[in-house]
Amino acid sequence: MDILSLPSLGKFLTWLSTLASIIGGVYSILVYYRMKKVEDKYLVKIRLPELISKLKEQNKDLPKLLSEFENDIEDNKKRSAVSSSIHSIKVILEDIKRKLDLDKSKSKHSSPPISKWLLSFTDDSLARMLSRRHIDIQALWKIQSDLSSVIMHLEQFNLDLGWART
Amino acid sequence: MSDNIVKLITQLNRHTLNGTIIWRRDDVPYNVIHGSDSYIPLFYSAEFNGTKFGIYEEKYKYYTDVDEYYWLSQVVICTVDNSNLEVWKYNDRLSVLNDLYENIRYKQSGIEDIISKLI
Repeated sequence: MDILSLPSLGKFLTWLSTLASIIGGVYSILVYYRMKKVEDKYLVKIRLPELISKLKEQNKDLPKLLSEFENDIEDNKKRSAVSSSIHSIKVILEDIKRKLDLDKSKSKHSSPPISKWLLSFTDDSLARMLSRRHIDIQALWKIQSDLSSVIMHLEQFNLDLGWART
Repeated sequence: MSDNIVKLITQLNRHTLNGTIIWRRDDVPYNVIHGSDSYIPLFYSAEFNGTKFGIYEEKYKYYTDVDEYYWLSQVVICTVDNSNLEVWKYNDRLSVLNDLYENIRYKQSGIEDIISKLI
């Protein structure tokens, strides 16, 4: 009879609500992490085809820009067109790498070629390749060729994900 | 192997754009069309480093059932021997291969000259 007294019942309900709050809090944290994981995977799957398309567009224009520059290496407009195109490609690739890094299980196969490409030249070395005194057309074409290989790997990776939108 | 093919295609693209390789319309090799119901609208060939290369877009039927199909297309690069027979081909869906084919068509069509005369 003592257990069912009003103060005891109040204490019991307080403990029960505290326990429920703790369980609810832990559950919310678990749901948050699960959702974050799903969201990251979704980001990779949805954004990757879009970014690959952008990259392909840039890679389509680059040979023309390189060829025009190769035929007239004194032209500053053509020089800066090549430079800005490579920098745009770099920005897109860095974005792709960030997206892939969100999904660690998938990124180990596709990230290395991107990292290799990004590390193959620095802003300084690119500026040197394009400067009148040290112009290195072969190296510029190698950048384009390596980029095409990176795109090939990314397209394959995208197909493996089961999203063939590119 | 695919990385080396990409390098080869990059070189072909570079020389095509620079005008150091001239592609011309050619007859489709006999062993490409014989025994096949594929359709090849245009075939281009060019000499590069002592080898004759060919490139074409192949439109082919993709069967989903015995009497159900739809048309697909793929760009193929190949080498051709002296008897005009295809001896090697590569048809993976590489975007650079499609770009090369588009550049060849653009260059070979003479549309560049037509546009420059108009402007």
